[in-house]
Amino acid sequence: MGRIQSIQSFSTLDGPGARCVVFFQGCPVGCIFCHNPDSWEPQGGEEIDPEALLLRLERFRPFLQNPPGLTISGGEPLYQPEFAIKLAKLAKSRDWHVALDTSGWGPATVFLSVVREVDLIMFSIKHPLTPETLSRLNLGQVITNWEKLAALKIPVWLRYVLIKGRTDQPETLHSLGEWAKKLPNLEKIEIFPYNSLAESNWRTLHRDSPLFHSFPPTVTEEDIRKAEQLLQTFSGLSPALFPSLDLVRA
Amino acid sequence: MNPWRHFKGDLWREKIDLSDFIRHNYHPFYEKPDFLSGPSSRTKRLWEKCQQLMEEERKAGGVLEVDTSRVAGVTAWSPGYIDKDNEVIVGLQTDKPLKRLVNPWGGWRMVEAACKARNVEPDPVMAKIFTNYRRTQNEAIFRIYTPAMRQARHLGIITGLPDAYGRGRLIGDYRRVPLYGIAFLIKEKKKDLYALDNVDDATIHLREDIADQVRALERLAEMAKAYGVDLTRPAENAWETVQWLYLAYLGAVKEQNGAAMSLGHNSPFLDIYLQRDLAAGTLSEEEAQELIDQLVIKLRLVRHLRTPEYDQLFAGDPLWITESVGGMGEDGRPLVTKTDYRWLHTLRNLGSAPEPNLTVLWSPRLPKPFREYCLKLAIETSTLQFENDELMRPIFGDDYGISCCVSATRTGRDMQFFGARVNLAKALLLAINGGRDELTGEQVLEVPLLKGEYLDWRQVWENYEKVLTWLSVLYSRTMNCIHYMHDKYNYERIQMALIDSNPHRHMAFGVAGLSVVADSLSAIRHARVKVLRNEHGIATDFAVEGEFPYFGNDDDRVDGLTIKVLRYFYGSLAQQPIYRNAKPTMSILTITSNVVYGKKTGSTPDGREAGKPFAPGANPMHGREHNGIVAAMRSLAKLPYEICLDGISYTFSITPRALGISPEERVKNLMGLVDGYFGANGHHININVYSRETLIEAMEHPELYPNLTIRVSGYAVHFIKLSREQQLEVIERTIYERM
Repeated sequence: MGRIQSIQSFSTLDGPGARCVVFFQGCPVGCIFCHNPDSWEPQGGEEIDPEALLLRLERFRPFLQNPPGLTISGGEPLYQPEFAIKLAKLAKSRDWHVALDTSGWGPATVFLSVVREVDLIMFSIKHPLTPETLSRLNLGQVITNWEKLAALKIPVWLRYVLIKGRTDQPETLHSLGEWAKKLPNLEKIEIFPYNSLAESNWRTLHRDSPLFHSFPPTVTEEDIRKAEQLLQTFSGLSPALFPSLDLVRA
Repeated sequence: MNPWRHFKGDLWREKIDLSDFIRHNYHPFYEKPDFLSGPSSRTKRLWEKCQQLMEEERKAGGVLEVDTSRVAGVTAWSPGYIDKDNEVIVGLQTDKPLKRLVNPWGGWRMVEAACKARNVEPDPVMAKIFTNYRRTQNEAIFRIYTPAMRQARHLGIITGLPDAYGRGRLIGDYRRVPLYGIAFLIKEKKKDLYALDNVDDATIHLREDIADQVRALERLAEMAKAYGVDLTRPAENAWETVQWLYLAYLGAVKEQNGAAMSLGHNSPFLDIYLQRDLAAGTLSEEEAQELIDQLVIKLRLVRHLRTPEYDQLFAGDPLWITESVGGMGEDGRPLVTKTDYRWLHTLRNLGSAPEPNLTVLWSPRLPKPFREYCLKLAIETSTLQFENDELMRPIFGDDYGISCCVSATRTGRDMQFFGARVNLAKALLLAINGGRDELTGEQVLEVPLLKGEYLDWRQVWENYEKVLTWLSVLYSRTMNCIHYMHDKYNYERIQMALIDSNPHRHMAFGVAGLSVVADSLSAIRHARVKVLRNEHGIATDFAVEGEFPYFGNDDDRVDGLTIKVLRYFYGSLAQQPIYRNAKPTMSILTITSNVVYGKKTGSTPDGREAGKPFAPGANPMHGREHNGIVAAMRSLAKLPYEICLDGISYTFSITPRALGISPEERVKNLMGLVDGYFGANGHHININVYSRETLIEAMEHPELYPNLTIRVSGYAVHFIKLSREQQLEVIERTIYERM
């Protein structure tokens, strides 16, 4: 059994193609820019066993491309490793393409036991230098987990949230580029803008985030492009890692 | 020249049988539409002029000119032209483009109200005739309405009734005119007329109908003659075919102002003629496209004079000139022809617009290039709707069209008695309030008073059954009154002349507020609902304790309740005697009236506040689809089409980004959604691809978005023609996006 916060039956933003997303309940990371803080509480959400969960997802299969995609997200899926492993194995046995969306939290043994079971790892690096300024992540642990990925044959996507004044400094992006260079199996880098849409979700939970007091300026498409260019030139990363640049060129 | 040269098949020659004619002669097209041509220079010039006129119309507040001097009729007006040099297809409703005619057959009070709203005076002689000497549909109906019918109507329990406007919904088989010519059609009608010689009421009624139809056909020929066109003989070439077909339709809209004046499914038919001339070298592709473009221009100019109340229900001046494309033949060949593409291509040649209301009859077996082309256009223009051909064909055969918004009808074989809809949410409140109206406190019927602070599921459902039974009796009787009188005083002679003499009749009932009722019942069943009553004991508000599932999340606990309501109500309607032995059908459809219905409905147990809009059609309530689009579609697809043959309308909106990054990906993902939805037996889907920001900007700066077209329940509309309230409702709707 495991706990889920919700199911999204159709998403084009959580991995390749159109796919389902299962948001696990429970997250110890507590990012200050989190979009769904109601997924933090470990005892919240709905309790469900992986078999029943997959039966629900199977109803969405005819609407998706073949093979259908499933992204395990959260919350932090690694917070319920057993559940994540069971769900991934079960889904793969029925020909789902399974992606894992994680912050890289947790001990390396646990981390590896889960990521081995999926087809794609989407690793959100919160901050390459000082993650503790944005979350409760421990830099050492995240680096260890990131580096372990290099030995796997599984493709990795790096995801990064751009927050003005917090994650967009040249030195931060430079360091991020260094991280990226470490993985031969890195397939894609996705940069998302932080805009204050998260705020109302926090307010309903009577929570407050330091971000709401500093009012970071809006991140534009242009800012994203710039960050991508910086990353590319600093670290000599292949342009193929930035599919959004292709779009701009096209 | 032999009009039927090169045509194959025999059956259709002796007796009217379009489907046999098409089967033997049409040309399915499987390739990509590389052949399409841009607008001809004549089309460009003509369209430019029309656009200027439409801009003037918009500036004038929606109506350019009203002529009150004549009574609507096929031959009331001498010919009118827009620009003779560039006008390939001729014919206007009056003698000038966009000049609106007065149609008093439906009711004189409506004429007065509509004229008043436009600051024109109705003609005093006409006023005298239609108030003193000639009874109208509206007057006749109100004379026989019972007090209970009037009450249900004014409280908004039964709403939008066609008792003060033309019922529409009929699709004449306009193809019959070019294929056979009017002389043959009259001969056939006369055979029917004299073959019937019983003296019972029903037979005499039918004979009078047919006699009227013969007269209408004669008038139609007369009208065409004034344009220099001889409709009595069959059309001989492509131009004549398009022109003949349009004039037949024009006859209908000159005489009738029915709410929906749909056109049918004409491309395979027209394509036969275009193809014959193309093959003979007497027509070029540009000329073929020109014929369709110019036909569509004419359709975009059709207007009727409406009252402000009517506009509130059906916003944006819609005509529902619904034209279907696509579909599969029963023999397994797609009915897709080059002319299906030519119709769709008008959206590019002339720009997107709500009319004609283009409807794709969808099957996964349609040629892939066609499916991709349709979805691409849907993403670009938000003006297409899609209906499940695999669901409809087994019931209606392969020669059907979509009437009004979503309702399948066999072309030339069926007619419909349009029945608007009942407000199911108000009916539920009657069940909760001991049969009293929640807004006025009026006693409407007697049901037991509910005891206790909390709503008890069993008691509520028992009462709801009583209310629904009572309502089905009242509703069907009301319909019988309306259509008896409509037939008698506002009979659609032209359209009926192009339908079989004794057609299959549907009584098209409808329901609104389904998702509000579903969620309310779910709250009562699965959570605890505390009732807050005023000093008269009327429930004014509800407090829900605990959680409950919402319709639109693929959750059987609530989806099952939704189906239960539909089955119960339809089962009850189906037991009622119906005028002219019509077969009952039911729709889940609201047009834009979900706003007005919501306004007339108090707070509901699902947490919806008093006066707030319902969701459109069969949609889940805004913002309650917590599991995304596919789960919502799953819920929708569970609604039983077999008892909702009049159509289950679903309108979905998504941002371009949420559909995919690249244009190709969007088409691919949308294909998955549409195939998935229809594969699960979903019936209809309106596809909107836009962002909320665009709508907000269009609301603030309408001048920048004159052509922004969106799909509402069952039709498309220029966004800027909606009222502020309706615009806000559209903006409030769930638009699938995610950060």
